Amino acid sequence: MSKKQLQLVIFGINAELYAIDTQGVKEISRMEDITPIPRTKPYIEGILNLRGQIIPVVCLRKRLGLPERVDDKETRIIIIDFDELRVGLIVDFVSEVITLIDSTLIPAPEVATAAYVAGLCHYNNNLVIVINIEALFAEQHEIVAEIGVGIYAKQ
Amino acid sequence: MQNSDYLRLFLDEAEEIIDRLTGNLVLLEKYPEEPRIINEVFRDAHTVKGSAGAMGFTQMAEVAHQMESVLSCLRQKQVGATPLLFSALLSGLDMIRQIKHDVYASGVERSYNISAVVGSLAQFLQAQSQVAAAMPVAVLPTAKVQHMPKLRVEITLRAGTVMKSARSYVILQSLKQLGQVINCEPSEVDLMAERFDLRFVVDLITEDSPDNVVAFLGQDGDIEDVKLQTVLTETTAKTMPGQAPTELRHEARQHSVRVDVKKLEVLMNLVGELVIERNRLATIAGIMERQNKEDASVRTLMAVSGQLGRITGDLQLEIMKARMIPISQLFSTFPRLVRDLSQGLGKQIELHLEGNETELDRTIVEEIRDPLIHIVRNAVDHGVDSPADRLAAGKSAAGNITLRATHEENNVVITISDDGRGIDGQAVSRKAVAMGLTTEDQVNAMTPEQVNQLIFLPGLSTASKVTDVSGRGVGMDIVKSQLEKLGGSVNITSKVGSGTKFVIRLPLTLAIIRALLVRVGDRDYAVPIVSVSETKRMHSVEVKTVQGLECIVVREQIIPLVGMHQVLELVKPTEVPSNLVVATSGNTKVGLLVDRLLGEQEIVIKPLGPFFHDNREFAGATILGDGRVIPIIDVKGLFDLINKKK
Repeated sequence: MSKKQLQLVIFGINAELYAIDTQGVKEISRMEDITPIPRTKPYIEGILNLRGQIIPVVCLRKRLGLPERVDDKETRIIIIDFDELRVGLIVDFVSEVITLIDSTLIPAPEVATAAYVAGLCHYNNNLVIVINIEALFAEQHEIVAEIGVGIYAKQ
Repeated sequence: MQNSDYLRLFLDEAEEIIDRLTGNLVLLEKYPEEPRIINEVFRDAHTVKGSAGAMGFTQMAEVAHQMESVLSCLRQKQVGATPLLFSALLSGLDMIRQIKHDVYASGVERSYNISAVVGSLAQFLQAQSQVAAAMPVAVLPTAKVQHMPKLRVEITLRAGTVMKSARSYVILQSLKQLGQVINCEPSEVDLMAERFDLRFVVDLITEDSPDNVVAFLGQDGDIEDVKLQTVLTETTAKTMPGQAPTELRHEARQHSVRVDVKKLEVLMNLVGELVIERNRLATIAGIMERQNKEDASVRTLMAVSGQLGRITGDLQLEIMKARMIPISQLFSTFPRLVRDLSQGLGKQIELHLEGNETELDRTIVEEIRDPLIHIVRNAVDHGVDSPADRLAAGKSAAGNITLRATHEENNVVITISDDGRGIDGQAVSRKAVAMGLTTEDQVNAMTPEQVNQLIFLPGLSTASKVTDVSGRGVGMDIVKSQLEKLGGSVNITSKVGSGTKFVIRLPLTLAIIRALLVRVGDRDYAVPIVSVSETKRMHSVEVKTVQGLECIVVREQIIPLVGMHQVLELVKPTEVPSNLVVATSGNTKVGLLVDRLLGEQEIVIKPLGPFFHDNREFAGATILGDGRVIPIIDVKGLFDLINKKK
């Protein structure tokens, strides 16, 4: 097992904590006006003008099958790059960037083995779900939030 | 430099040369005595041979070598400039193009049946070959070599030449094909290691005249200067007088660099960002001015903001221009096409190209290639009449086809006209009625102009016999839709007995279009203006119900009426939409109901990306001056969606 460091952005959806690798995270911006594109998958919120570039925005809440919620001043868009694609992810809030000395993640328990779960890690006495972005957008895995993550997120 | 970089340079160069060769060979067939053309053709064939050899594409080099040999005979008048000879040369060129195409696709030379091409070229080479100059020197007997003069070639590369080692290698390889290199200073190893400044000297034993050697090297843009000195070998010293050094200065060099299109796109995007930041600056400056008009620094800020706006606008325009290429790159394919087709059909055709320098976006140039070829083929096959018919009609035996490109405001207009037999309107309309594409009553009500447009209907072709060239009844409708896809249009005018003329109108660039902004619900959408035939207030039109579907009557035509909110599956508006956009794609028209018309504007198209691949009803999106993002409707995609929902 490698002892490489791993940097994660910790963010929240539905009072639960998630994380993604900072590699690929371009920036985090406040909620902006998003132009909806009709007739798309419900979790695709629309498109955004990022300094002259048009990028798609995904509502992570809807992507994970969680109930809708009104945006507030804590709402953030995490801009990420993957597969030569730049995408915005809407999350409820972003808390901070942490560094794991040991990049080895805790394997997800069997009940939570959704494709997008890369593993778990500890953060302030909480267990955080680390998301694998590629898997999140691999269309064959339609994600259903039946997984009982909630139990693990709050100890 | 990576290997792949060399390959790309080679391919770029090869493409340029092949295009030039194609044009020049066709010209040469017409003017076989013209030394400028034959020299250029000869040089180009030689360059292909040299660089293909250097890259290890032996089959391409072999074909080029044979072509060069034949051209050498032609130059020395050992063979006649017959159509057969040019056909052999052109098919050699086709083979080279094919190989280049494969190398482009896969990076390697596959195995080709070059023997047929090489064989047909070889038959023009005379038995007691005096073409030794173009043959690899390795096969020359040594005895002969001894009697040949030694040339001392002193080459100076242009200051700042990149990858000098590769350049010197290519030059050395070319020289080796001219003769035997017996010495090289600095040594070949040192040259490869780039252990030289700009100058190197090659001693060469060759039968070629010094002038030829200079000419061979002359086309290399990286060579600043070539000095030649004939050093006579001992056995011939008494019989041949020495020659003074021959100097060659280059003609005015073209000042240009190759730029990857992707780089231009990156620049374009950066300018896009700049435009938006400029707009923000202008807004802030405006607010500050309202708050404090007297402040000197606020006034300066206003001036700077205005200046920045102008510079940004100019920058955007210039980068847009950098994407433009002259239409000659496309036009240059036609002399060959027309030559081949007319020979096959036994027709005489003069092709005239006008407005070669007219520039348009490179993407458009690539996209209109097929439609233009189709129209020109039609003109050769059906348009221009046979020499006998022409003479009987009191015309010259040779027919004329003219391709002309001009700028008109923000459009490029391309016309393709012939002086042939014209379109028989009655035959067209009879056929259209017979095929059920239209009715007799409709045809009777049409102007001759309208009748001609019928040939753009799917399945219609008036050619009485199907030929190799055209006449299968496919095509003109595809030509039309392809041009419309680019935001262009095509029209036809024709007069029986005196000819046919196609007028194609295209936007200068695909990146910027004129669009009509409309509001549906609480959002705005852009509809490309080329797809809008007219706009109307709802209360001015008559709504009918035909087979349960709502329709409107516009200009005596019944067209379906569809609410934009319905197609896009948006929330039903509280008020009845009061405006109508009559949208058109191909031969279809649909009345689209929208809430408001917001006016026309130039917009920059940006792609939506892979997340929206299934949304064929959108062509992309644009960012307006105020930073808002607006989806752009693709009318054809929208129509497909409407049909699917029926």
